[in-house]
Amino acid sequence: MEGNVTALGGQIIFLMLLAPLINGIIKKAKALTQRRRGPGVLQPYFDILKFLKREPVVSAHTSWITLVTPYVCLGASLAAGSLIPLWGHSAFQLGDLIALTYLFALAKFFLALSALEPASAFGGMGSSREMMITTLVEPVLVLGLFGVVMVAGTTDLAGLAGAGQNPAGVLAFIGLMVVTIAETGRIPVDNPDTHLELTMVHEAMLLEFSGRHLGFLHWAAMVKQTVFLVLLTYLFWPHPSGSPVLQAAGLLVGKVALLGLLLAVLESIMAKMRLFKLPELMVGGAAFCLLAVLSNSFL
Amino acid sequence: MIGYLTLVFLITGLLMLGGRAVSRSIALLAAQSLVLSMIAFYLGLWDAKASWHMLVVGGLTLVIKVIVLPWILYRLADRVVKYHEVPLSIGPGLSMLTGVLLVGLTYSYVVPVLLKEVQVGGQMFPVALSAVLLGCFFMISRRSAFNQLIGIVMMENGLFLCAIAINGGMPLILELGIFFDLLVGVLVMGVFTNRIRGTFDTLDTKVLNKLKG
Repeated sequence: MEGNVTALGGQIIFLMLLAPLINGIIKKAKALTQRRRGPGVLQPYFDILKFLKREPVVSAHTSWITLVTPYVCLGASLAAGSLIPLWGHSAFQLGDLIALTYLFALAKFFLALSALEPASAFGGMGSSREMMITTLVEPVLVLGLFGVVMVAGTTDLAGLAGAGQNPAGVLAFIGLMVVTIAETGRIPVDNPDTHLELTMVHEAMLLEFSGRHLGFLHWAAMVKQTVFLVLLTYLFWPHPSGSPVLQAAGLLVGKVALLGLLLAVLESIMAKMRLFKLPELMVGGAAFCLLAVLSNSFL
Repeated sequence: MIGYLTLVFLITGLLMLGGRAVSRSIALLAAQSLVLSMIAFYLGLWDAKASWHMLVVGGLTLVIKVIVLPWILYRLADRVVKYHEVPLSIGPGLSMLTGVLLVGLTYSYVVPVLLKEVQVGGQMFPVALSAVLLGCFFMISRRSAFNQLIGIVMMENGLFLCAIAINGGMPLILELGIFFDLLVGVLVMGVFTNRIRGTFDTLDTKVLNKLKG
């Protein structure tokens, strides 16, 4: 019990500290592929620190939803991350893969609500776009996870380490990569670097937040991105179980950074898609996930 | 290994269904042929019943289908294709989903029920059959005469893999004949699309039902 509590707490702190680093690496890699110098790898830490020092300004017309949203988002993302048994043993039987999916949905729900609350022009637009993308992404995510789950025969994350290491897993991986791009708001779907009013989705929802709250929301987005990458490495490329914690952590950081590099390269070679072309991309992802499920049921 | 290769073969076929651009279709076709030649090489080198003639087939595939044919197609596309993106009868996403349905149909019905006398284990046979179906659907869903050319080559790739899956390839003299046929066929169809373009000023198959003197 005592050991489990330490493991769980350690994992949460690990994810919180890792997330800005991964974001920094992706940003740096993206800058380098575009032949810019780019900010340093540690810049996201400084950004978050700066935000956390500032007082938030909250509109007088908003209710408690706006006040709790930053904490709900960060909390839900961290809770989702803590469900993955990173160090080879499950900390608690807190929830399975389905719970993980819906913890992210909870964060999204609160963020969309709170963006509607101050009734600013862009917030509502961002919410409606985010919800549209969510309705497209969620079936693909669940299908892709099922493609992996069907091999292992369990949705319990402890039994899923490396469950994707088979031909069907390759298909599921491609589909889940599309999902990761959409969920982390990366380029063909959303552009994390601009506040261009015509295209922004996630940034539009953050417009009314400031100071500490904005810092927490940025942090939550980074944690979510890291958790997705960690989940992918856990399902498709896990470290051998029973390796010492430090070695496992080092390997994990390396693998997640590698996946982040892949994201950065993909983001650099693609152009932002029109919003109404997104269903095509998502149906493509769904096709791969569906094929993974199919090939599992007939082989 | 061979399982992953056949899987990549299937993925390239599906990706072809999911795109509009002509150059992308040609590149994916070349990639598919490359996988095909890799399968042939793999079987020739490491299979239990390894035979040198798989190596010849792999080499021929590499030269003709990976290098020569795409080159001809690119040249032809430069000349005859007016717009970079071809008109589709259904959207790329839906067309990809239909492709998956076709693959599912092959796996669940065609191979175990319709063709149950053909006793071939493994992934290769159903994947090859689905590639034939995907090529056929590629031709149906693209409304451009040029893409029907690409669809033909894709179907041929599938049939080729079928032959490999069923009895380790056809006799060498037959394979040579097929390669020659394919090359000449693509050249003839290339000339033909050129003529269509000259007469109708478009490759859209929708307008091809009008008589023109």
